Parts: sequence; structure tokens; C-alpha cells
Amino acid sequence: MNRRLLLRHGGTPLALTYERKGGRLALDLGGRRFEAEVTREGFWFDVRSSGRATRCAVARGRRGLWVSCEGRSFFLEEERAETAAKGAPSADELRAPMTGRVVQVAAGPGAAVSEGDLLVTIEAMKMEFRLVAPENGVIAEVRCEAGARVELGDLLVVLEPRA
Amino acid sequence: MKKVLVANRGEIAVRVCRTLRAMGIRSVTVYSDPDRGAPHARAGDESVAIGPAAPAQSYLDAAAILDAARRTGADAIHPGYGFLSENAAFAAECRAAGVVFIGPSPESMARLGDKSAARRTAASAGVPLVPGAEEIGSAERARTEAERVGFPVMLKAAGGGGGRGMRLVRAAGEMEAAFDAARREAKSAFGDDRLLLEKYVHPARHVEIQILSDGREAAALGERECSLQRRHQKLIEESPSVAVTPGIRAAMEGAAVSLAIAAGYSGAMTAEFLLGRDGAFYFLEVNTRLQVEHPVTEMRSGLDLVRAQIRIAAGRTLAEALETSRPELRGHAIEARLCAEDPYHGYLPQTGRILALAWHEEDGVRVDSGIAEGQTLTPYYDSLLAKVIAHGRDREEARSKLVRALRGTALLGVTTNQPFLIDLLEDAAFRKGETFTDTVEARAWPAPDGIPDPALAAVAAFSSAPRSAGRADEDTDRYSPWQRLGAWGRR
Repeated sequence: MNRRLLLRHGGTPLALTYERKGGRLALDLGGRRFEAEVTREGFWFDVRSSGRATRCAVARGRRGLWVSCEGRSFFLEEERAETAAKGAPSADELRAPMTGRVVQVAAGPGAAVSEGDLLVTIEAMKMEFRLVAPENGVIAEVRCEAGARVELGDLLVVLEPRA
Repeated sequence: MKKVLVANRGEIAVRVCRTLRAMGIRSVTVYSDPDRGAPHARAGDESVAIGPAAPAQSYLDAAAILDAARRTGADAIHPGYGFLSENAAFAAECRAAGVVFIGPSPESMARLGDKSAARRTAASAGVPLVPGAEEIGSAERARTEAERVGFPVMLKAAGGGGGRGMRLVRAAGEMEAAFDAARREAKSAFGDDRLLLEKYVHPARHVEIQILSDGREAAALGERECSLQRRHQKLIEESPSVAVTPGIRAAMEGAAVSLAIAAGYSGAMTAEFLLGRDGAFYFLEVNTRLQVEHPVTEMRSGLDLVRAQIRIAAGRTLAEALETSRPELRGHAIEARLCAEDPYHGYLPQTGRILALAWHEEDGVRVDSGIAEGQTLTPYYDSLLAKVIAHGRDREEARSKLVRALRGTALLGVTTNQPFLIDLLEDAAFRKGETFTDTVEARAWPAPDGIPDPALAAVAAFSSAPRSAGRADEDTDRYSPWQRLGAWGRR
């Protein structure tokens, strides 16, 4: 288990550890383990767990995370998020932070990149934004090209992290 | 009628604009300062700022609204429900200003809108009344009348509704305190401390009849049952009612029609009744306006009641307004009111920013909404955000469709009664049709405990996407990618 989320629901702490490989998650809530497969579309998350498909929605507010699942919503305060140093890495998705135009794609599929390396440059409202790798890894997919218009939230690059 | 000003806000203003657009009539909406940019303020062809947040200085300010109508050249005003919709003085001011008020005349409003006057009109039209008395001037008189009809009794404000100025009195010893409290509350809420007293019919269902009338002729469009309430405010409404037999329906419709005719009523009207377990029913009050729950009737009849209101106000006959000789009611419709309130903590009103919003789409599902993603909900107005209505061939089909629609709706950022509505619709009592006015409040409805596993998995998937440590910008949050801008971001 390489990631840990410390959340609080209605005053009760929730310690959630999970490991993610692409869309597959292995989760542990206070010693109880379960698995899920998750695909995402905007704020929707389609979750398959224990043979059952469920649609959830997640958004971050000023004070924490809101999640809704089949008409029931929960507000989760985030205590702090931690990433353990060891354990299997999981894929990271780089999405467009705003609607704009791709100026440059700096790395192609299969390229090894280091934390902080430039991946994509986007221009919006006459300003350029440099999108960099959050950690060391290999580019698994590039979903955009120079000159293309992208919408807020569009998937740009998938990075497979390496320890 | 070429241009109509909608003197309301939220979902009803949006809904009225939809019909105006379909009829090729230009629309003007009005908004208070905190409603600038709200969906209703953008729903019309034009929009006018009418004042600050306080309703008395904006949506209830007759002068400001008439001024907006004059400035935009509107030839009619649709008042929606609430606010100025049942204000006979406002209807008279519209008439004096040469603007058509889409609703009844001030005279029929006065005869039916006031609870005491309505009781007298009902009595003279032969409509059964809850045993009681009007114009109760003292606690002593109230005690005498209560002993005559038998405890428990209800004290009610003659001049208004919405649960204010209302007190349940179970025994003679409680009368004095209840009388004083109801009178104070009525005075401050409606500027009118007249009280009336009615026997408390219990257990009872709340059943109402929808009427359309042109002043000479009235048509009844079946009933709606609205028994599921909290704080005397409706949560779920349906048509038909499982408890209304053809005989009861015919009698109730007859009573409602005779009320409309007796008052020379013109427009849409609702007569409310209490229906006891024994099938006996009693007149409660008349609402001289469009009801919140009117879509239930629209879903069954295929009629657009706002369109009918407008046509009647424009001088058409009932037959012309209905555009059919005999409207037919088909299937079953149920409506749920989605409100910004915490159902598990005293229905406390909730505010905040809507971070994500998506409705369920399906044949036979209608959503009348006054909200949009990114909107900040303010504490100034009613907590009603939207109505979700489902229509099916039978009650179970409508019920399961409505549950599916509520489950498939995502509204993040503000606590709502969404899960509670699902609980009510899924409850054994509702499935069996055992719905009474005290069903909601007589029981404890526990909050869901624990967060379901799929929700935790979704949160984990959301959190593991690149996040920004530097900016917690809600605008970009819904796509979450930028949640770790520090790492992924500008350098």
C-alpha cells in the first residue's frame, strides 16, 4: 500500500490506504480490504467493486472532498494526504488545467522523464502554463498535440511512475 | 400578450420562462442583488435588477416590480407561487397600472385566499368543513369552541399559511399559551393576528384538487396527494392518490368546482382537503395561484398549466385554454422536492457553492431546476432547489423511476435532502401507500451510517490523480487534475 488518505467524516477519522495501478485500486479501510476498478469521466467515477457497478461523483471544495454515490452525498474533510516512499507506483494522469491551446508537447510515448521535467505547455488568456512531471516515470500515453485546443479537464498525458 | 414579466425567482421563474418562449411571448425576469447571475436571471429575454437581498425590498416590493414592468414594456405579470402571488392588493395595483395580472381578480382572491373568508364561501357552497370556528378573539372563546368540537384542535392564522401561526392544542390546559404564541407569530408573519380553530383530523391525508376556471366554467383536473410533509411543508406529491376512490374524487372535484364558481374565479386554483381514514373529507383552504407541485398534474394530463393560465388571463374561454374538450389523466406521477437542507439535523437550511451538478435523464422524468453548477446558494430565500418528477403507467413504475432519477443525480458542494427523499420513496409505508400528514415527523429517520466502498474507491481515484498543493481553486477542482499544480504546474 503506497498511498494514505487521512479523512474525517462528521468528526470521525477515516484512515484509507490504497494502491493504484491504472484504473485498479486495492483499498484498506482500518484493516478491511477491498478492490475496485475505476474509470473516470469528468466528475463521474464508475466503480466496479464486489461484482457491482456504481456511479459516484467527486469534487473538491474549499474545505474538503464531496463524494456522492447513488444519491447519497458525503463531505470528507482532508486531514492531510501522504504518499509512502516505497511500494508499486501507479499511473498519473495529466489533465488540462484550463481551456486553451497546446503550444508544445515536450516528451513522446516511452520517454523516461524525471520529476520536474517539462511535458506540455498550454496557452490561455495570453499566458503560458508549463505542465511538468510530478515524479520520475515513463510516458505511457500522449493524448494531445501542438496547436490543438483543449478543454478544462481533458486528458493530456498518462505517466507511469517509477520509483 | 407580447411580453410577460416573471415576478419570482428560482425554478418557478425558469419554468414560466420556458412556456413563454414556447408561446412566442417575450419574457422579463427580475433579480435581487445576490441572485445576479442566477439561472432564473438568465432565463428570460431581458432581466432587471430590483433591489437588495431582503424579499421586502425586492421580490415582495410591488412598486419595484411594477416599475420594472413599465420600464421593459411588459404587458402582463406572472407571479409564480409565494411572494406576491396571493396578494390581492398587488393584483389590484397591476390592474390600476394597466398590466395584466396572470391570476384571479383581486375580488376572487380576497374571497378565497383568506382562510376565514374561504371557510364561509365553502360553507355557503355546501363544501364540507373541518368542524371549527372562525374569528377566535380570545383564549377563552378558543377553549369553549375546542370543547364543542373536541380536542385535539388546530389553531391557524386566518391571513397566511406555510405553517406559521399554527399550533396543535391537545388539551384545555395548553390553550392559553398556544393561543398567545399563534397570535404573536401570525401578527409578525402576516401583519394579521386573526386566528381560526379547527378540529385536528388525525390520521389524515392531504389531498388537493387542481382547478382551471375562466370565471364562468371550471374544470377539475384530478387530485394530488401531498401527505408527506415536514413542518407543514410538502416533500413528496403524487397523483392519483391511492386513497381516493372514484366516488371521493367526484365529490371532491364537485366541491372544488363549486368553490371556483362561487368566487367567479379565473385561472389556476387548488382546493386543499383533509381526507380521513373513513373516507370523509373536509375543506382546508384554497391556493389562488399555481402550486409548486403542478407538474404532477401536467405529467398526467399532458397540459401546460402555465400556458392555460396565460390564455385565460388573455381572455380565452376555458375550452380554448384547455385546447381539448376533455383532458384525460393517464398513469401515475410522483414529484420529489430537492431542498438545500439537512434532513438528519432538523432540516437546517444549507448554503454553499454547487461544485458539480448532473441530472438523471430518462423518458418520463422531468426536472424543474433553478440551480446551476458554480452557483453559490445564499441563505436569503426558500430552500427549494429543484423538483424531480417521474411519470409511469402505474404507481410502482413512477416510484421506481423517481428513485432511479434521484440516485442518478449528482449534486456536490451543498448538503441536500436527496438521500432522505430516496429513503421516503423506498420506505415500506410509502410503497404500501400508507402516507399521512404525520408520517414523516412521527418517525425517526436515521442518517446513513458509513460511507459505501465505491465512494471510498472514487475518492482514492480522485486523490491519486495529480493534485495541486498550491491552489485550492474550486473552479478547476471538478476535474481535479490540477490538484497538485506544485508538482505538475508552472515552474
